[in-house]
Amino acid sequence: MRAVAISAGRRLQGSTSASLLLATVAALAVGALLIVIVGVDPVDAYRSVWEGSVGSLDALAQTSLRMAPLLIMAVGLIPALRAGVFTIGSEGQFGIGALTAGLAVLGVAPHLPAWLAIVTGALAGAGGGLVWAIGPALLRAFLGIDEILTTFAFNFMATFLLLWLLNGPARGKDAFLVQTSPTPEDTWLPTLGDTVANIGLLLLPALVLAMVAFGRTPGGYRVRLYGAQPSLAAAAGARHWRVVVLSMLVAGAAAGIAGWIQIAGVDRAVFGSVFRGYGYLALALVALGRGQVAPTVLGAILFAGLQTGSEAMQLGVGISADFVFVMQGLVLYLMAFRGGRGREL
Amino acid sequence: MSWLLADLAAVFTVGTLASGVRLAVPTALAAIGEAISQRAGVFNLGIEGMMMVGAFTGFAVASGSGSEALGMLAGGAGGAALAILMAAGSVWRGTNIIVTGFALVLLGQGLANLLYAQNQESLKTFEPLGEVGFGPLADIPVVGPVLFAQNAVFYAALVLAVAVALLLARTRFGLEADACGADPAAAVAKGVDVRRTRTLAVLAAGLFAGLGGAAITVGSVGNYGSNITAGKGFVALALVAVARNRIGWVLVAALLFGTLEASQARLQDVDGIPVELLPAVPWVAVVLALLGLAIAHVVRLRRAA
Repeated sequence: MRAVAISAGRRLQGSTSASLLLATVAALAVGALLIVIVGVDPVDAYRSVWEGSVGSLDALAQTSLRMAPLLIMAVGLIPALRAGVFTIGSEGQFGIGALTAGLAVLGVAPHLPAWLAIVTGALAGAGGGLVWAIGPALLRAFLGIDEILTTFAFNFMATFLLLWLLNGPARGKDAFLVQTSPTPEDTWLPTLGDTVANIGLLLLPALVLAMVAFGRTPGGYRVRLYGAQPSLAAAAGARHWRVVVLSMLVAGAAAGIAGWIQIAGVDRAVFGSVFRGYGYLALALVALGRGQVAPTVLGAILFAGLQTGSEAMQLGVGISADFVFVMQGLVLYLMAFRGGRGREL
Repeated sequence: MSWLLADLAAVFTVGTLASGVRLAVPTALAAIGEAISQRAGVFNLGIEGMMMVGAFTGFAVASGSGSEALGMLAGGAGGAALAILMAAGSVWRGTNIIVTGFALVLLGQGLANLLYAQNQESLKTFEPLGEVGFGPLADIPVVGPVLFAQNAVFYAALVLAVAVALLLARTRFGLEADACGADPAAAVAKGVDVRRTRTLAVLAAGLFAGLGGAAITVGSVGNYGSNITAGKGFVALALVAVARNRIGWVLVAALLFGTLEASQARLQDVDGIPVELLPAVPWVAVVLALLGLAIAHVVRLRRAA
């Protein structure tokens, strides 16, 4: 039975990636229409999208910076979505992880060697994200409270908690914006060659491989079984509360690490504006990718490219970078529409 | 302690209450629509995007035509137009409701901000709607400034709220919507056209969200700005969750939150109150309400056993 399930999974995986590409092409076509309406040549516009996202080594490096947090969060969400746990809390866990990572680095940097401060930041980020996931996880596992609304609520609580802390107790001296002090330069993630990309990028293949491997362990099998049929999973030795709590905590820790990589690799301080909607994008990608690894990775690359491409398009041909939200919204909508009923998780 | 009470008394004045009512209008409109949709069993996360589209179409039409009334109508139509996509996906195609709703948040925000950014020069700002004159009624202490010195959108919203409450409680549509929300399979068995009912409910949600967006741009600002709804659609989701889809409680929740919002600026001067945390209040309330319901459920089960 398992072999059948796996081969069926492979077939669907192929079609999900194809569906993502198809949705992207369709969205770009609608986007071209929109570009014409606002009075710009779509060929020029899309040339600057291409050049700004993947057209050069620098562009690729910029895209990688946006891809990293998105991909880390998405990979971390895979077990939860496979188990049928629809946590939409990555956004808040990302912000809390960024905050704890940033504060930890600022705290320990004067006392520890730089590499140890970096590791401390990563652990603190993971811990912060994990802690922010505990409440909704326990409420779902032991009281049966729907995780969608609670995780959503925790996202907003995180937003306002961050604003309060960064305006008050955690605000950096002499900071003009709502932010902490900048983190010391030796705690920034080292860059790769002459580009802005950093070594955090090397973490991604490891995480992806780890998730592929997890899917082949008995634990990974029980998670999928739980998602398909909880009573059957219980007979196979999966405990309800363990599947729910652990999968939600894994998602939380991953989102926290994504927050850390944003701070250590890009922002270099914790800003009140750290929230970028990556958490929701990651969730949508995993949900539409039916919890599979390949379409999730493909989607993270695509969405990051759309992001940097749209920024380049704003500079190049003067179309507002809000274009990226139209594109991402269209891709997600069309992909969900093509999937339709019964192809959901 | 007495100094704190004195400070708080200075914050919660009639003026705060009056501007609280004003601030509550857009959120209340969106929340009324969301309640209709959720009564029919459709959790409409796209509401924020629908508000954004309504805010933009309302502003653009009012700016171009010079008519605030036309602007409000265009706002409602804009929100409903985006809601067509929600209905097509989640009701007719059976797509994942969270992903589809989120996609429409992105699409609505993106379209509204983009179209504004590209047409900013040609769109003129205008004076927002003024107060409706009620003559001496506005001079009544407390009640006057709070209830009789608001703009036309406020009174329209009140009428609409009563109409929706009656629609849900007294008409066939209301009963069918509740049936679709409670148990769609049973509703089908009883001959209810679930898709049709849900489609109408989702379109109504879009209409009200669009009106809510236009209430900001046409009703109180006379301008548009990037992300002008600032998450009010999400706040509406929280209010509906706390009010458990009942229109009366939705209005109470919206008023309470509007007053909290209005007091925020003045609370800044009161020591010891973290004003940045005040917007989190509805979300804490959502979690506490869900917790309360779950505990009550467990207690009932224990008693029964």
